[in-house]
Amino acid sequence: MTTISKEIKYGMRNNIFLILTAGFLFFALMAPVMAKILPKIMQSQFPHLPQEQIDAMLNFNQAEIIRSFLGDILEIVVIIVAFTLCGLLAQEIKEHTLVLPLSSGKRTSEIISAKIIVFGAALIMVSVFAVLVNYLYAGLLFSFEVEIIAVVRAGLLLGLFLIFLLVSLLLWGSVTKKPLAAGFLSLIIVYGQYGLASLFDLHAYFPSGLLVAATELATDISVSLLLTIIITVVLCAVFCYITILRLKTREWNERI
Amino acid sequence: MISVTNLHKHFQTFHALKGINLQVKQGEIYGFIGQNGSGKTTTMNILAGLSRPTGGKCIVAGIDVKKIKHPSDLPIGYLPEEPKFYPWMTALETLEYLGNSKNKKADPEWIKELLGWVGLFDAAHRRVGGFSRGMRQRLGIAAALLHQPRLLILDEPSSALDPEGRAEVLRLILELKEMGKTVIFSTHILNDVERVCDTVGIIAGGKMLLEKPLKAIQKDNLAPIFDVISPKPWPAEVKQKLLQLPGVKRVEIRGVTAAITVEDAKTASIRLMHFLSKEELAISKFRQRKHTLEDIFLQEVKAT
Repeated sequence: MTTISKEIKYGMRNNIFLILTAGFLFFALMAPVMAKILPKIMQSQFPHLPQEQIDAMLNFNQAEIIRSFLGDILEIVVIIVAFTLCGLLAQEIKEHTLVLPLSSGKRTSEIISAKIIVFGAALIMVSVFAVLVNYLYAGLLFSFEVEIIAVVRAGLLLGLFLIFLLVSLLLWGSVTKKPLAAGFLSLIIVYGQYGLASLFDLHAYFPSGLLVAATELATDISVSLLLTIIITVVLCAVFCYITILRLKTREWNERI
Repeated sequence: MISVTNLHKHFQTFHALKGINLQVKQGEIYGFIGQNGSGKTTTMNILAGLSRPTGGKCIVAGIDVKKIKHPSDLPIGYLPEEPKFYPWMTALETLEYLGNSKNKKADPEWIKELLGWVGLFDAAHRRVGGFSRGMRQRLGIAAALLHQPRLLILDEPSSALDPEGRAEVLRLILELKEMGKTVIFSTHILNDVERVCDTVGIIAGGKMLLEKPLKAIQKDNLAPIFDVISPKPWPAEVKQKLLQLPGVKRVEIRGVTAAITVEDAKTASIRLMHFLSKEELAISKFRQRKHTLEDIFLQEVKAT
Protein backbone atom coordinates (compact mmCIF):
# COMPACT_ATOMS: atom_id res chain seq x y z
CA MET A 1 0.00 0.00 0.00
CA THR A 2 1.45 3.36 -0.98
CA THR A 3 1.30 6.48 1.17
CA ILE A 4 -1.33 7.96 -1.16
CA SER A 5 -3.60 4.93 -1.00
CA LYS A 6 -3.19 4.93 2.79
CA GLU A 7 -4.52 8.51 2.92
CA ILE A 8 -7.42 7.61 0.61
CA LYS A 9 -8.35 4.69 2.86
CA TYR A 10 -8.01 6.91 5.94
CA GLY A 11 -10.42 9.43 4.40
CA MET A 12 -12.89 6.74 3.42
CA ARG A 13 -12.83 4.58 6.54
CA ASN A 14 -13.03 7.54 8.90
CA ASN A 15 -15.84 9.14 6.84
CA ILE A 16 -13.75 12.28 6.24
CA PHE A 17 -14.78 12.50 2.57
CA LEU A 18 -18.39 11.86 3.52
CA ILE A 19 -18.42 14.60 6.18
CA LEU A 20 -16.83 17.10 3.77
CA THR A 21 -19.26 16.24 0.96
CA ALA A 22 -22.27 16.39 3.29
CA GLY A 23 -21.18 19.74 4.72
CA PHE A 24 -20.70 21.29 1.30
CA LEU A 25 -23.86 19.80 -0.20
CA PHE A 26 -26.04 20.87 2.69
CA PHE A 27 -25.20 24.52 2.11
CA ALA A 28 -25.17 24.10 -1.69
CA LEU A 29 -28.78 22.86 -1.54
CA MET A 30 -29.92 25.11 1.28
CA ALA A 31 -28.95 28.37 -0.46
CA PRO A 32 -31.45 28.02 -3.38
CA VAL A 33 -34.16 26.63 -1.07
CA MET A 34 -33.77 29.56 1.31
CA ALA A 35 -33.87 31.99 -1.63
CA LYS A 36 -37.11 30.40 -2.81
CA ILE A 37 -38.92 30.31 0.52
CA LEU A 38 -37.62 33.56 2.02
CA PRO A 39 -40.15 35.81 0.20
CA LYS A 40 -42.96 33.54 1.43
CA ILE A 41 -41.65 33.69 5.00
CA MET A 42 -41.41 37.48 4.73
CA GLN A 43 -44.94 37.65 3.42
CA SER A 44 -46.32 35.61 6.30
CA GLN A 45 -44.32 37.55 8.89
CA PHE A 46 -45.11 41.00 7.48
CA PRO A 47 -48.58 40.74 5.84
CA HIS A 48 -48.92 44.54 5.62
CA LEU A 49 -45.90 44.74 3.26
CA PRO A 50 -46.94 44.89 -0.41
CA GLN A 51 -45.73 42.02 -2.63
CA GLU A 52 -43.86 44.44 -4.92
CA GLN A 53 -41.81 45.74 -1.99
CA ILE A 54 -40.88 42.22 -0.90
CA ASP A 55 -39.92 41.31 -4.47
CA ALA A 56 -37.77 44.44 -4.66
CA MET A 57 -36.05 43.56 -1.36
CA LEU A 58 -35.44 39.89 -2.17
CA ASN A 59 -34.72 39.93 -5.84
CA PHE A 60 -32.87 36.60 -6.10
CA ASN A 61 -31.33 35.19 -9.22
CA GLN A 62 -28.91 32.32 -9.90
CA ALA A 63 -25.78 34.50 -9.56
CA GLU A 64 -26.95 35.93 -6.21
CA ILE A 65 -27.64 32.44 -4.89
CA ILE A 66 -24.17 31.17 -5.91
CA ARG A 67 -22.61 34.23 -4.23
CA SER A 68 -24.66 33.54 -1.10
CA PHE A 69 -23.39 29.94 -1.10
CA LEU A 70 -19.78 31.13 -1.47
CA GLY A 71 -20.43 33.44 1.50
CA ASP A 72 -21.64 30.41 3.49
CA ILE A 73 -18.39 28.66 2.59
CA LEU A 74 -16.32 31.36 4.28
CA GLU A 75 -18.63 31.68 7.27
CA ILE A 76 -19.43 28.07 8.06
CA VAL A 77 -17.99 25.45 5.70
CA VAL A 78 -14.40 26.63 6.37
CA ILE A 79 -15.00 25.83 10.05
CA ILE A 80 -16.37 22.38 9.16
CA VAL A 81 -13.34 21.70 6.96
CA ALA A 82 -10.91 22.96 9.65
CA PHE A 83 -12.29 20.75 12.39
CA THR A 84 -12.75 17.72 10.13
CA LEU A 85 -9.14 17.83 8.95
CA CYS A 86 -7.45 19.28 12.06
CA GLY A 87 -6.17 15.85 13.17
CA LEU A 88 -4.62 15.00 9.83
CA LEU A 89 -1.07 15.50 11.11
CA ALA A 90 -1.51 16.65 14.73
CA GLN A 91 -3.28 13.43 15.70
CA GLU A 92 -0.53 11.33 14.10
CA ILE A 93 2.16 13.18 16.05
CA LYS A 94 0.13 13.09 19.27
CA GLU A 95 -0.56 9.36 19.01
CA HIS A 96 2.92 8.42 17.70
CA THR A 97 1.49 6.64 14.66
CA LEU A 98 4.28 8.13 12.54
CA VAL A 99 7.07 6.35 14.45
CA LEU A 100 6.74 2.98 12.69
CA PRO A 101 6.28 4.41 9.17
CA LEU A 102 9.33 6.64 9.65
CA SER A 103 11.51 3.86 11.03
CA SER A 104 10.40 1.52 8.25
CA GLY A 105 11.41 3.88 5.47
CA LYS A 106 8.70 6.48 4.85
CA ARG A 107 10.04 9.99 4.31
CA THR A 108 8.43 12.99 5.99
CA SER A 109 8.11 14.73 2.60
CA GLU A 110 6.33 11.65 1.22
CA ILE A 111 3.89 11.62 4.15
CA ILE A 112 3.07 15.34 3.90
CA SER A 113 2.82 15.28 0.08
CA ALA A 114 0.39 12.35 0.21
CA LYS A 115 -1.86 14.22 2.65
CA ILE A 116 -1.86 17.34 0.47
CA ILE A 117 -2.44 15.41 -2.77
CA VAL A 118 -5.31 13.30 -1.42
CA PHE A 119 -7.13 15.85 0.72
CA GLY A 120 -6.28 18.77 -1.60
CA ALA A 121 -7.79 16.84 -4.52
CA ALA A 122 -10.79 15.97 -2.36
CA LEU A 123 -11.32 19.62 -1.43
CA ILE A 124 -11.08 20.75 -5.06
CA MET A 125 -13.46 18.01 -6.23
CA VAL A 126 -16.01 18.61 -3.49
CA SER A 127 -15.80 22.40 -4.05
CA VAL A 128 -16.43 22.14 -7.79
CA PHE A 129 -19.12 19.51 -7.25
CA ALA A 130 -20.90 21.56 -4.57
CA VAL A 131 -20.82 24.78 -6.62
CA LEU A 132 -22.17 22.85 -9.63
CA VAL A 133 -24.98 21.36 -7.52
CA ASN A 134 -25.74 24.83 -6.20
CA TYR A 135 -25.71 26.21 -9.76
CA LEU A 136 -28.02 23.47 -11.06
CA TYR A 137 -30.49 23.69 -8.18
CA ALA A 138 -30.57 27.48 -8.30
CA GLY A 139 -31.06 27.27 -12.07
CA LEU A 140 -33.96 24.84 -11.67
CA LEU A 141 -35.68 26.91 -9.00
CA PHE A 142 -35.06 30.24 -10.72
CA SER A 143 -33.43 30.40 -14.16
CA PHE A 144 -30.06 29.61 -15.73
CA GLU A 145 -28.20 32.83 -16.33
CA VAL A 146 -24.60 32.10 -15.22
CA GLU A 147 -22.13 30.45 -17.58
CA ILE A 148 -21.09 27.02 -16.39
CA ILE A 149 -17.40 27.82 -16.99
CA ALA A 150 -17.70 30.66 -14.43
CA VAL A 151 -19.12 28.18 -11.93
CA VAL A 152 -16.31 25.70 -12.49
CA ARG A 153 -13.80 28.55 -12.17
CA ALA A 154 -15.42 29.59 -8.85
CA GLY A 155 -15.24 25.99 -7.62
CA LEU A 156 -11.56 25.69 -8.52
CA LEU A 157 -10.70 29.00 -6.81
CA LEU A 158 -12.63 27.90 -3.75
CA GLY A 159 -10.74 24.59 -3.78
CA LEU A 160 -7.38 26.40 -3.92
CA PHE A 161 -8.46 28.59 -1.01
CA LEU A 162 -9.30 25.47 0.99
CA ILE A 163 -5.90 23.93 0.12
CA PHE A 164 -4.40 27.00 1.80
CA LEU A 165 -6.49 26.09 4.86
CA LEU A 166 -5.29 22.46 4.57
CA VAL A 167 -1.57 23.38 4.58
CA SER A 168 -2.20 25.74 7.52
CA LEU A 169 -3.72 22.80 9.39
CA LEU A 170 -0.66 20.67 8.64
CA LEU A 171 1.72 23.44 9.68
CA TRP A 172 -0.04 24.12 12.97
CA GLY A 173 -0.43 20.39 13.52
CA SER A 174 3.34 19.98 13.33
CA VAL A 175 3.83 22.89 15.73
CA THR A 176 1.18 22.27 18.37
CA LYS A 177 0.70 18.47 18.03
CA LYS A 178 -2.90 19.12 19.17
CA PRO A 179 -5.73 18.76 16.63
CA LEU A 180 -8.08 21.37 18.14
CA ALA A 181 -5.29 23.91 18.59
CA ALA A 182 -4.24 23.35 14.97
CA GLY A 183 -7.86 23.91 13.89
CA PHE A 184 -8.26 27.14 15.85
CA LEU A 185 -4.89 28.58 14.80
CA SER A 186 -5.59 27.79 11.14
CA LEU A 187 -8.95 29.54 11.38
CA ILE A 188 -7.20 32.56 12.89
CA ILE A 189 -4.86 32.57 9.86
CA VAL A 190 -7.73 32.19 7.36
CA TYR A 191 -10.05 34.76 8.94
CA GLY A 192 -7.16 37.02 9.95
CA GLN A 193 -5.85 37.35 6.41
CA TYR A 194 -9.41 37.82 5.10
CA GLY A 195 -10.12 40.58 7.64
CA LEU A 196 -6.78 42.28 6.99
CA ALA A 197 -7.26 42.16 3.23
CA SER A 198 -10.81 43.52 3.53
CA LEU A 199 -9.69 46.32 5.84
CA PHE A 200 -6.97 47.61 3.52
CA ASP A 201 -8.51 46.43 0.26
CA LEU A 202 -5.58 44.11 -0.40
CA HIS A 203 -7.41 40.95 -1.49
CA ALA A 204 -5.15 40.61 -4.53
CA TYR A 205 -2.16 39.98 -2.23
CA PHE A 206 -3.80 37.46 0.09
CA PRO A 207 -5.40 34.02 -0.45
CA SER A 208 -8.72 35.68 0.46
CA GLY A 209 -8.57 37.20 -3.05
CA LEU A 210 -9.46 33.73 -4.38
CA LEU A 211 -12.84 33.83 -2.64
CA VAL A 212 -13.47 37.40 -3.79
CA ALA A 213 -12.58 36.39 -7.36
CA ALA A 214 -14.86 33.33 -7.09
CA THR A 215 -17.85 35.53 -6.22
CA GLU A 216 -17.26 37.60 -9.37
CA LEU A 217 -18.45 34.58 -11.39
CA ALA A 218 -16.28 35.72 -14.28
CA THR A 219 -14.89 33.45 -16.97
CA ASP A 220 -11.42 34.94 -17.37
CA ILE A 221 -8.28 35.03 -15.21
CA SER A 222 -7.13 38.60 -14.64
CA VAL A 223 -3.55 39.64 -13.86
CA SER A 224 -4.67 40.48 -10.34
CA LEU A 225 -6.14 36.98 -9.89
CA LEU A 226 -3.02 35.39 -11.33
CA LEU A 227 -0.99 37.29 -8.71
CA THR A 228 -3.33 36.02 -5.96
CA ILE A 229 -2.96 32.43 -7.24
CA ILE A 230 0.85 32.72 -7.32
CA ILE A 231 0.97 34.22 -3.81
CA THR A 232 -1.31 31.45 -2.48
CA VAL A 233 0.74 28.69 -4.12
CA VAL A 234 3.99 30.20 -2.77
CA LEU A 235 2.47 30.49 0.73
CA CYS A 236 1.32 26.85 0.54
CA ALA A 237 4.83 25.77 -0.54
CA VAL A 238 6.42 27.72 2.33
CA PHE A 239 3.98 26.24 4.86
CA CYS A 240 4.70 22.72 3.52
CA TYR A 241 8.45 23.28 3.70
CA ILE A 242 8.24 24.44 7.33
CA THR A 243 6.02 21.46 8.19
CA ILE A 244 8.46 18.97 6.65
CA LEU A 245 11.40 20.70 8.32
CA ARG A 246 9.67 20.52 11.70
CA LEU A 247 9.02 16.81 11.29
CA LYS A 248 12.58 16.15 10.15
CA THR A 249 14.12 17.89 13.13
CA ARG A 250 11.65 16.44 15.61
CA GLU A 251 12.74 14.00 18.31
CA TRP A 252 10.49 10.96 18.17
CA ASN A 253 10.90 10.16 21.81
CA GLU A 254 7.68 8.65 23.14
CA ARG A 255 8.17 10.25 26.52
CA ILE A 256 8.26 13.83 25.21
CA MET B 1 26.82 -4.85 15.88
CA ILE B 2 26.26 -1.96 18.28
CA SER B 3 29.01 0.08 19.88
CA VAL B 4 28.05 2.90 22.21
CA THR B 5 30.70 4.98 23.90
CA ASN B 6 30.12 7.68 26.51
CA LEU B 7 26.58 8.38 25.30
CA HIS B 8 24.92 11.48 26.73
CA LYS B 9 21.43 12.84 26.27
CA HIS B 10 20.03 16.07 27.67
CA PHE B 11 16.37 17.09 27.57
CA GLN B 12 16.52 20.83 28.35
CA THR B 13 17.38 20.69 32.06
CA PHE B 14 17.13 16.92 32.45
CA HIS B 15 20.27 14.81 31.96
CA ALA B 16 18.76 11.47 30.87
CA LEU B 17 21.89 9.57 29.84
CA LYS B 18 25.17 10.16 31.65
CA GLY B 19 27.87 8.44 29.64
CA ILE B 20 26.45 5.08 28.61
CA ASN B 21 28.85 2.43 27.23
CA LEU B 22 27.37 -0.59 25.54
CA GLN B 23 28.59 -3.32 23.19
CA VAL B 24 26.32 -5.77 21.37
CA LYS B 25 27.99 -8.60 19.48
CA GLN B 26 26.66 -10.11 16.29
CA GLY B 27 24.19 -12.96 16.78
CA GLU B 28 23.58 -12.42 20.48
CA ILE B 29 20.50 -11.48 22.46
CA TYR B 30 21.28 -8.52 24.63
CA GLY B 31 19.00 -7.72 27.56
CA PHE B 32 18.95 -4.09 28.54
CA ILE B 33 17.44 -3.86 31.99
CA GLY B 34 16.58 -1.00 34.27
CA GLN B 35 13.82 0.48 36.34
CA ASN B 36 11.19 2.79 34.85
CA GLY B 37 12.80 6.14 34.02
CA SER B 38 16.34 4.75 34.08
CA GLY B 39 17.04 5.75 30.44
CA LYS B 40 16.25 2.53 28.58
CA THR B 41 13.78 4.01 26.09
CA THR B 42 15.94 7.08 25.52
CA THR B 43 18.88 4.79 24.65
CA MET B 44 16.71 2.61 22.42
CA ASN B 45 15.34 5.66 20.57
CA ILE B 46 18.88 6.87 19.92
CA LEU B 47 19.92 3.42 18.69
CA ALA B 48 16.90 3.42 16.35
CA GLY B 49 17.80 6.87 14.97
CA LEU B 50 14.62 8.46 16.33
CA SER B 51 16.41 10.69 18.80
CA ARG B 52 19.77 12.45 18.54
CA PRO B 53 22.49 11.99 21.15
CA THR B 54 23.81 15.09 22.88
CA GLY B 55 27.28 13.60 23.22
CA GLY B 56 29.30 10.45 22.76
CA LYS B 57 29.55 7.96 19.93
CA CYS B 58 26.89 5.53 18.81
CA ILE B 59 27.63 3.09 15.98
CA VAL B 60 24.76 0.86 14.90
CA ALA B 61 25.46 -1.81 12.25
CA GLY B 62 28.56 0.14 11.24
CA ILE B 63 26.75 3.48 10.86
CA ASP B 64 27.22 6.51 13.10
CA VAL B 65 23.70 7.52 14.19
CA LYS B 66 24.77 11.16 14.36
CA LYS B 67 25.39 11.15 10.62
CA ILE B 68 22.11 9.65 9.41
CA LYS B 69 19.50 11.90 7.80
CA HIS B 70 16.53 9.65 8.42
CA PRO B 71 15.77 6.83 10.91
CA SER B 72 15.39 4.33 8.06
CA ASP B 73 19.01 4.93 6.97
CA LEU B 74 19.90 2.42 9.70
CA PRO B 75 19.57 -1.21 8.53
CA ILE B 76 17.62 -2.24 11.61
CA GLY B 77 14.20 -3.39 12.65
CA TYR B 78 12.66 -1.37 15.46
CA LEU B 79 9.79 -2.11 17.81
CA PRO B 80 8.75 0.86 19.99
CA GLU B 81 7.70 0.42 23.60
CA GLU B 82 4.05 0.56 22.62
CA PRO B 83 3.75 0.16 18.86
CA LYS B 84 1.05 2.47 17.51
CA PHE B 85 -0.74 1.36 14.37
CA TYR B 86 -3.62 2.85 12.43
CA PRO B 87 -6.67 1.22 14.06
CA TRP B 88 -8.66 1.36 10.83
CA MET B 89 -6.09 -0.69 8.88
CA THR B 90 -6.05 -4.47 8.80
CA ALA B 91 -2.91 -6.35 9.88
CA LEU B 92 -2.11 -7.20 6.25
CA GLU B 93 -2.61 -3.60 5.12
CA THR B 94 -0.41 -2.37 7.97
CA LEU B 95 2.49 -4.57 6.88
CA GLU B 96 1.91 -3.73 3.20
CA TYR B 97 1.96 -0.02 4.06
CA LEU B 98 5.05 -0.22 6.27
CA GLY B 99 6.83 -2.54 3.86
CA ASN B 100 6.26 -0.41 0.80
CA SER B 101 8.67 2.52 0.92
CA LYS B 102 10.53 4.43 -1.73
CA ASN B 103 13.82 2.57 -1.29
CA LYS B 104 12.65 -0.58 0.46
CA LYS B 105 9.92 -2.89 -0.75
CA ALA B 106 8.78 -5.98 1.12
CA ASP B 107 7.75 -9.02 -0.92
CA PRO B 108 4.00 -9.82 -0.50
CA GLU B 109 4.86 -13.48 0.07
CA TRP B 110 7.28 -12.49 2.84
CA ILE B 111 4.54 -10.39 4.45
CA LYS B 112 2.21 -13.41 4.51
CA GLU B 113 5.02 -15.58 5.87
CA LEU B 114 5.65 -13.05 8.63
CA LEU B 115 1.98 -12.93 9.57
CA GLY B 116 2.03 -16.71 9.87
CA TRP B 117 5.24 -16.67 11.90
CA VAL B 118 3.85 -14.26 14.49
CA GLY B 119 0.57 -16.19 14.61
CA LEU B 120 -1.60 -13.55 12.96
CA PHE B 121 -2.33 -15.23 9.65
CA ASP B 122 -5.97 -15.83 10.56
CA ALA B 123 -6.30 -12.23 11.76
CA ALA B 124 -4.66 -10.77 8.64
CA HIS B 125 -7.89 -9.18 7.43
CA ARG B 126 -9.04 -7.95 10.83
CA ARG B 127 -8.65 -4.28 11.76
CA VAL B 128 -5.78 -3.58 14.15
CA GLY B 129 -8.08 -1.46 16.35
CA GLY B 130 -9.68 -4.68 17.59
CA PHE B 131 -6.40 -6.42 18.39
CA SER B 132 -5.31 -7.32 21.92
CA ARG B 133 -2.07 -5.84 23.22
CA GLY B 134 -0.24 -9.11 22.64
CA MET B 135 -1.44 -9.25 19.03
CA ARG B 136 -0.30 -5.65 18.45
CA GLN B 137 3.08 -6.50 19.94
CA ARG B 138 3.44 -9.51 17.63
CA LEU B 139 2.38 -7.38 14.68
CA GLY B 140 5.06 -4.90 15.77
CA ILE B 141 7.69 -7.67 15.71
CA ALA B 142 6.52 -8.64 12.21
CA ALA B 143 6.79 -4.97 11.17
CA ALA B 144 10.33 -4.79 12.54
CA LEU B 145 11.26 -7.79 10.37
CA LEU B 146 9.68 -6.47 7.14
CA HIS B 147 12.95 -5.46 5.52
CA GLN B 148 14.80 -8.52 6.85
CA PRO B 149 17.28 -6.61 9.06
CA ARG B 150 20.18 -8.37 10.76
CA LEU B 151 19.71 -6.27 13.90
CA LEU B 152 16.50 -5.82 15.88
CA ILE B 153 15.96 -3.18 18.53
CA LEU B 154 12.96 -4.09 20.67
CA ASP B 155 11.86 -1.66 23.35
CA GLU B 156 10.02 -3.45 26.17
CA PRO B 157 8.51 -6.09 23.86
CA SER B 158 6.97 -8.15 26.65
CA SER B 159 6.50 -5.73 29.54
CA ALA B 160 2.80 -5.00 29.26
CA LEU B 161 1.67 -8.49 28.31
CA ASP B 162 -0.01 -11.28 30.22
CA PRO B 163 2.09 -14.42 30.95
CA GLU B 164 0.87 -16.16 27.79
CA GLY B 165 1.61 -13.14 25.62
CA ARG B 166 5.04 -12.75 27.23
CA ALA B 167 5.90 -16.38 26.62
CA GLU B 168 4.88 -16.00 22.98
CA VAL B 169 7.04 -12.90 22.50
CA LEU B 170 10.02 -14.58 24.20
CA ARG B 171 9.59 -17.59 21.93
CA LEU B 172 9.73 -15.26 18.92
CA ILE B 173 12.89 -13.62 20.27
CA LEU B 174 14.56 -17.01 20.70
CA GLU B 175 13.56 -17.94 17.16
CA LEU B 176 15.08 -14.69 15.92
CA LYS B 177 18.37 -15.80 17.42
CA GLU B 178 18.08 -19.12 15.62
CA MET B 179 17.61 -17.16 12.39
CA GLY B 180 20.96 -15.53 13.06
CA LYS B 181 19.57 -12.11 14.02
CA THR B 182 21.12 -9.89 16.63
CA VAL B 183 18.56 -8.64 19.15
CA ILE B 184 18.78 -5.97 21.79
CA PHE B 185 15.71 -5.65 23.94
CA SER B 186 14.94 -3.55 26.95
CA THR B 187 12.79 -4.68 29.83
CA HIS B 188 12.27 -4.41 33.54
CA ILE B 189 11.07 -8.02 33.76
CA LEU B 190 14.24 -9.78 34.89
CA ASN B 191 12.81 -13.24 34.47
CA ASP B 192 12.48 -12.61 30.71
CA VAL B 193 16.15 -11.68 30.51
CA GLU B 194 17.18 -14.83 32.35
CA ARG B 195 15.15 -16.92 29.94
CA VAL B 196 16.52 -15.64 26.65
CA CYS B 197 19.55 -13.35 26.95
CA ASP B 198 23.22 -13.99 26.31
CA THR B 199 24.46 -10.67 27.62
CA VAL B 200 22.95 -8.28 30.12
CA GLY B 201 23.38 -4.56 30.61
CA ILE B 202 22.01 -2.92 33.75
CA ILE B 203 21.17 0.78 33.61
CA ALA B 204 20.10 3.04 36.48
CA GLY B 205 19.81 6.79 36.66
CA GLY B 206 21.18 7.18 33.14
CA LYS B 207 24.36 5.26 33.95
CA MET B 208 25.43 1.80 32.92
CA LEU B 209 26.07 -0.15 36.10
CA LEU B 210 27.05 -3.49 34.67
CA GLU B 211 27.49 -5.18 31.33
CA LYS B 212 28.46 -8.85 31.19
CA PRO B 213 27.43 -12.20 29.75
CA LEU B 214 24.53 -13.51 31.80
CA LYS B 215 26.45 -16.58 33.00
CA ALA B 216 29.41 -14.47 34.12
CA ILE B 217 27.09 -12.15 36.03
CA GLN B 218 25.46 -15.06 37.83
CA LYS B 219 28.88 -16.49 38.66
CA ASP B 220 30.81 -13.35 39.57
CA ASN B 221 28.42 -10.82 40.90
CA LEU B 222 26.94 -12.30 44.02
CA ALA B 223 28.51 -13.76 47.10
CA PRO B 224 27.04 -17.23 47.91
CA ILE B 225 24.35 -17.35 50.57
CA PHE B 226 23.42 -20.40 52.65
CA ASP B 227 19.97 -20.62 54.16
CA VAL B 228 20.09 -22.76 57.30
CA ILE B 229 16.75 -23.58 58.91
CA SER B 230 16.52 -24.82 62.47
CA PRO B 231 13.49 -26.67 63.97
CA LYS B 232 13.51 -24.13 66.84
CA PRO B 233 14.61 -20.46 67.09
CA TRP B 234 18.36 -19.90 66.97
CA PRO B 235 20.15 -19.09 70.27
CA ALA B 236 21.07 -15.40 70.53
CA GLU B 237 24.86 -15.97 70.59
CA VAL B 238 24.92 -17.97 67.31
CA LYS B 239 25.09 -14.88 65.12
CA GLN B 240 28.31 -13.64 66.75
CA LYS B 241 29.87 -17.11 66.63
CA LEU B 242 29.03 -17.50 62.94
CA LEU B 243 30.54 -14.11 62.14
CA GLN B 244 33.81 -15.20 63.74
CA LEU B 245 34.13 -18.13 61.32
CA PRO B 246 36.68 -17.54 58.52
CA GLY B 247 35.00 -16.68 55.17
CA VAL B 248 31.64 -15.62 56.65
CA LYS B 249 30.74 -12.09 55.54
CA ARG B 250 27.25 -11.50 56.88
CA VAL B 251 24.65 -13.28 58.98
CA GLU B 252 20.95 -12.45 59.07
CA ILE B 253 18.72 -14.36 61.47
CA ARG B 254 14.95 -14.21 61.13
CA GLY B 255 13.12 -16.64 63.40
CA VAL B 256 14.26 -20.15 62.52
CA THR B 257 16.12 -19.11 59.34
CA ALA B 258 19.73 -17.99 59.27
CA ALA B 259 20.95 -16.46 55.99
CA ILE B 260 24.74 -16.71 55.93
CA THR B 261 26.67 -14.84 53.24
CA VAL B 262 30.10 -16.37 52.60
CA GLU B 263 33.11 -15.71 50.37
CA ASP B 264 33.48 -19.17 48.88
CA ALA B 265 30.67 -21.71 48.77
CA LYS B 266 32.81 -24.87 48.79
CA THR B 267 34.97 -24.20 51.86
CA ALA B 268 32.20 -22.36 53.71
CA SER B 269 29.75 -25.26 53.46
CA ILE B 270 32.26 -27.59 55.14
CA ARG B 271 33.05 -25.04 57.85
CA LEU B 272 29.39 -24.33 58.50
CA MET B 273 28.49 -28.01 58.81
CA HIS B 274 31.42 -28.53 61.12
CA PHE B 275 30.36 -25.54 63.25
CA LEU B 276 26.75 -26.71 63.50
CA SER B 277 27.77 -30.18 64.57
CA LYS B 278 30.32 -28.86 67.12
CA GLU B 279 27.70 -26.54 68.64
CA GLU B 280 25.14 -29.39 68.58
CA LEU B 281 22.64 -27.27 66.73
CA ALA B 282 19.85 -29.24 65.08
CA ILE B 283 18.91 -28.19 61.56
CA SER B 284 15.97 -29.10 59.36
CA LYS B 285 17.27 -27.63 56.10
CA PHE B 286 20.66 -26.56 54.75
CA ARG B 287 20.80 -25.18 51.21
CA GLN B 288 22.71 -22.76 49.03
CA ARG B 289 20.42 -20.05 47.72
CA LYS B 290 20.02 -19.94 43.93
CA HIS B 291 20.66 -16.35 42.86
CA THR B 292 18.33 -14.73 40.45
CA LEU B 293 19.08 -11.81 38.22
CA GLU B 294 16.76 -9.84 40.45
CA ASP B 295 19.23 -10.26 43.34
CA ILE B 296 22.05 -8.98 41.15
CA PHE B 297 19.94 -6.14 39.81
CA LEU B 298 18.86 -5.02 43.26
CA GLN B 299 22.42 -5.33 44.55
CA GLU B 300 23.77 -3.17 41.73
CA VAL B 301 21.00 -0.58 41.94
CA LYS B 302 21.31 -0.37 45.74
CA ALA B 303 25.06 0.14 45.41
CA THR B 304 24.45 3.33 43.40
